[in-house]
This record gives sequence, C-alpha cells and structure tokens, in this order.
Amino acid sequence: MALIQDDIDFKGQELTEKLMQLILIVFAVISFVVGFIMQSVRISCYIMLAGMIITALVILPPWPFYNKNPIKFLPVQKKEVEEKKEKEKKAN
Amino acid sequence: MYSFYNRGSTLLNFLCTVLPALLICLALTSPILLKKSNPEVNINIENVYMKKFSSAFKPVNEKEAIMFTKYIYHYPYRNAPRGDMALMDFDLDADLTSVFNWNVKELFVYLVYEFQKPKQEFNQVVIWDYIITDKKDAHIKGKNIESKYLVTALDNKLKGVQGNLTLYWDIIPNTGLLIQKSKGNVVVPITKIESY
Repeated sequence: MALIQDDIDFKGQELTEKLMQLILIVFAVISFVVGFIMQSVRISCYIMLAGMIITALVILPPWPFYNKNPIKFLPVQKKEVEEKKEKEKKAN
Repeated sequence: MYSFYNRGSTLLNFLCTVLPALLICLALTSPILLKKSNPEVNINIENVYMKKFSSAFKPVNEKEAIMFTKYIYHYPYRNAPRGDMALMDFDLDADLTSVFNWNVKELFVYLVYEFQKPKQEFNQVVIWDYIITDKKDAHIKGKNIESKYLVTALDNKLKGVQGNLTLYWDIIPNTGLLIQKSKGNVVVPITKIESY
C-alpha cells in the first residue's frame, strides 16, 4: 500500500509475528475444546473464523505501538567534493 | 512483516499450518468417539418372494407387477436376461443415534444379502438403502418394509440359496477416513417359493 504509511519498525515486526502466532494458536485450541464439548463442528468453525478476523485486525494495520522504536540514522555527512567547491567559493 | 501485504501473506501462510492441524485433531477424535457408540439392530424377515422373469413376463397380481417394474428398471435394455429375481419384505429396528458425533456428516445405511454359490463363493447384493443426515432421524423403525432392489445371482439361479441379511452403515465424516461398520445377521433362505 503505497498510498498510506504502512511500514513498522523492527521491534514492531517481531511483535506482530509473536502476536499472530499466539492469537491463532489460542483460538485454534479454544475452538477445538468448545467444539468437542458442544459436539458441533459449526461452532468450532465460527470460533476459528472470529480468531482469523481478530488476528487480521491486530496485525495488519500499522498501529502506533508498532512504531515506538524507530531507527535512528546518523546525520548526513557532506561529500568532500562539495566541501572543496565551498572552499573555492570562499577563497574567491 | 514490514508492510501491509507482507503481514497479510505471513498470516495466510501461518493459517495453512494451524487449520490442517485443527482438522487432523478433529479426524483423530472420531475413532475414540465411535468406540463409545452402541448401535442396536434388529432385522426380521416377513416374506421372501421369488419368481423367474423374462422380458415377455406378464404379471398376474400386484406383487408380481412391482417386481416386474423393478426387474425392467434393473435391466433397462431390450433383451433382459431370463432369471430368478427375489424380493424381501422385512421389519427393521435400528437405533444408530449413538453413532452420531461431531465428525459425522451423514450415514449411508444399507441392507446387504450375502450368499454363496458353487462358482462364486462370496456374493453381496444391496437390497435396501437409506441416507441419514440428522441425529434426530437416526432411529430407523419400520414394519413390513419392501426391499428397494431385487436379489439376483450371476448364473440367474436362486433356488435353494441360503444367505445372511446384514445391516451395513458407512460413516461419512467431516474430515478423516470413511468407516464401514455392520451389525445384525439374519439367515434368510430363499427356499420357500411363493407360487401364485
């Protein structure tokens, strides 16, 4: 998506992956246990579907808490050629 | 995980691991649940009719007319083979409610007549079938049910045949293996020929 700023920082990327695995596995276990107790595959399917939607909502949008540790770049250093030209200008 | 598409792709990828794992767990529960089931089957034979048929046969009474229609339906071509055809009337009381669990999509219930011939040692003929899709309908109770299909033999001779009538059911699961079970043996001789 080039239209909006959707990239997140490295710590955020690690967090999304962990969150995704945790939420999906927890929902899979819940759906299996509830379906087994209620003896209904339909209920189990609906719980898993809800799990997918929740996971997508949590990890897909670039939420602000994924951007708490932005990368700090070093300040831009001027090139030597430009410095020489500036010196020449000063000399003139 | 840096962009929207990348996260979506990873999510779908991980779903392809989680969902099959869930389905495998579902399939593994089915044999455990089936061990607990105790279906009860009672088959009782009311009447056995046997008659020699050919395309030129002219039915005399109602039963023969029914059998002749089934015979024509069984061989829908011009020169149907001449031969013995048998039809059975039976009582069935089968309680398959306990077979149903969360991994059962439907049951295909069928009555099989198994008999021996000198040349063919093992013959199976399906004489009646029924599909159960709901747990509420799983108790089959019927008196004097007429079999749907005719009993025939490869050499077209049924006189003196003595066979077993067994109820089979195929358990069609949501996921996993299709399991076939059977119960209730009743010996049915086709010796007494109903003559009209």
